[in-house]
Amino acid sequence: MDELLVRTLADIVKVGAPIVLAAVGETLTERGGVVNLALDGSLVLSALAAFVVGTGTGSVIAGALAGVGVGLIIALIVAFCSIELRLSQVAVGFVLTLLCRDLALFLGIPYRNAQVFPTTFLPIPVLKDVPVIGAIFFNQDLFTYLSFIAVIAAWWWLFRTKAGLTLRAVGERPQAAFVRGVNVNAVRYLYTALGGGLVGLGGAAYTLGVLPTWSDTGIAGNGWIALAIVIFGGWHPFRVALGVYLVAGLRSVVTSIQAQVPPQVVELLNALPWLLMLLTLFLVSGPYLDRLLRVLPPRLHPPIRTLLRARPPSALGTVFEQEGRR
Amino acid sequence: MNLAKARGALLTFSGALGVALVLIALIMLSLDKAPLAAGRRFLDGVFGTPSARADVVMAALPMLLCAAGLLLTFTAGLWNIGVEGQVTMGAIFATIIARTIPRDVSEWGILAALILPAELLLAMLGGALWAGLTALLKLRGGINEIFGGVALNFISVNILLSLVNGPWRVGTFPQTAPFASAALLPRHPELRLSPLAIAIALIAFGAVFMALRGTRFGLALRAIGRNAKSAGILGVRVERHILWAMIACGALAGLAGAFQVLFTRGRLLPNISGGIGFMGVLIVLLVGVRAAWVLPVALFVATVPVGSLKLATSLDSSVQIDAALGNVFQGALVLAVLIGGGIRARLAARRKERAEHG
Repeated sequence: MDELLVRTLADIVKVGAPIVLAAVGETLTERGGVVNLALDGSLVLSALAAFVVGTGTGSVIAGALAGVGVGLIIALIVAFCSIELRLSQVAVGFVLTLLCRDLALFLGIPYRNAQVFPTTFLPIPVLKDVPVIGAIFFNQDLFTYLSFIAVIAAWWWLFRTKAGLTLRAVGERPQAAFVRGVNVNAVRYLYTALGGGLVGLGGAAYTLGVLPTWSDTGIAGNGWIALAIVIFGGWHPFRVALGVYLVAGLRSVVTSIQAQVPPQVVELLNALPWLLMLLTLFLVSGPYLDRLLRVLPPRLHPPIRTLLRARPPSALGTVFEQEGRR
Repeated sequence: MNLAKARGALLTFSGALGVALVLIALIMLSLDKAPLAAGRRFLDGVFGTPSARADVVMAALPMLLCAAGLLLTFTAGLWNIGVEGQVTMGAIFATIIARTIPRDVSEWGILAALILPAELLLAMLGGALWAGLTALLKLRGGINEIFGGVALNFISVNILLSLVNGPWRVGTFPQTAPFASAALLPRHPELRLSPLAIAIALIAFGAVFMALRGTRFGLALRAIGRNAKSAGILGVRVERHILWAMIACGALAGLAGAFQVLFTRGRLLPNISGGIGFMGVLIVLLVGVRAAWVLPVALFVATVPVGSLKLATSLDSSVQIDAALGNVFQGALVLAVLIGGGIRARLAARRKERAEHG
């Protein structure tokens, strides 16, 4: 295969890693019925926390844990406000996303482009020498591997374990799950926290892996992309990852032609990922998928449905009134 | 009953204000700043002089316009996060005319009187188009207005940056030339104040207030906000009302964008909105979609950016602090109000339950 293509694909996988982590985290959260709309601000604030702790201690692990901690706490605030206080998840999430972003921009002032975190590049012996595959997937930094693990683990957990079945039940039919003896709200706390932790890890992946420095721009906005990709991905980890790589691929195309066009065109090209986001949401949620299927041969229906059909968890965004506990 | 409710809301607000202030004070202390001195400087910077008070009033106007529009959409249960992009489009559309106006319009005669109305109408059209697009994406494409709005916010910024980096750029920085005075909102001779802008904003807010209180349109929006499905069954044209609520909000946000270019900045430049659309959202969340409170709360919220700027430009290093802290304060305050309201509602529910069960 063409060397340039391999390098581009490897770059897409690397640049997409933080968004994959965040989107997989949000997938788990939403599968349980909670929307963590604070994702974007959470990503920025955890990125800053990871950078400050990472550069302060010189340890990637300490930095990543700081990011995870921040993401986890923010997610728990959303869960608490929804479950205990019955507040709108959208209202709390939106205010939190603004607050966290502004807090990060303010606290991050002294760290603006201060230094670059030492690389976490970690080629895997033997595997990295497999032609094509090795160069794309196994010649990467630490956080890229974590993003692969997150996708596979989330899929396995959701669809191959009993705990995953319980999680999906809580997101689809909380009453039924409760009758079967599941502590619905405890499950929701657990997976909101877990999902928030993954979002925090995504933030750490920016400042300790992809960038790898603190900057005002380059992180904010990606959380919203992740939230949209969860919908496009139909709450399925593999499709979510595919969606992320689609956006990352488009971005890499834009970056590669940036030098050859005047600045006003570059700015317009930067709008393309957002147009793609609207287009994909339109495809999966609009009434047009059915119309599209009608004109295509029936043989193609099942694969297209698997790829494009998106149905949110039935109890997404709702409050569950557990009996005996008000 | 109503009095008790208002007292409760005020109590929540004061408590939340205290929490937010303590948070800001702690952040300041951790940075070796003097919170009390900064507070005095802040209050002086927003109330101390007539010009400071004028700045607060003028800063409040675009927020008031956005909040007024958002009252309509929130009443119908819509999260018009796209208001930020609608402000930006308003600013861009106003600039289409404003940048072509020459310094000397003495020979224009009656046409000169039409410049400002044309700019404002075009700005409203720009905002309305952007909001209408969000509504269409929702109604025809099944895209939640939050995601449609967020995407269109980013796209509007890309369009703005493309214009000020390309065809509209004048000079070394990515911005237009300063507009001619004939293109700007007329200014008070001494203060940084535009009586016409104040009148327009108050009339717009009054119109929204009346529409929500005493018209079929307002009633229909409330019905949709409570339960869109039942409203539809009872004969309310849900889709049409959603579209018009969004378009009205977009038009008001576009007007706010026009105020930004035709008064506050006097030219088009990057980040022209400066987050006033989001501040509008925060204001409406602060007052819990109660229209009567919007006016005083908008004035209160407007003190934050004005006062923060005074602190940021202060020469005294013990109170000099970046204006971004003001945004942190606003976010913390709204979050605290939401949580405080939630706690109060839970306590009330628990009391009621205990009374019922003996």
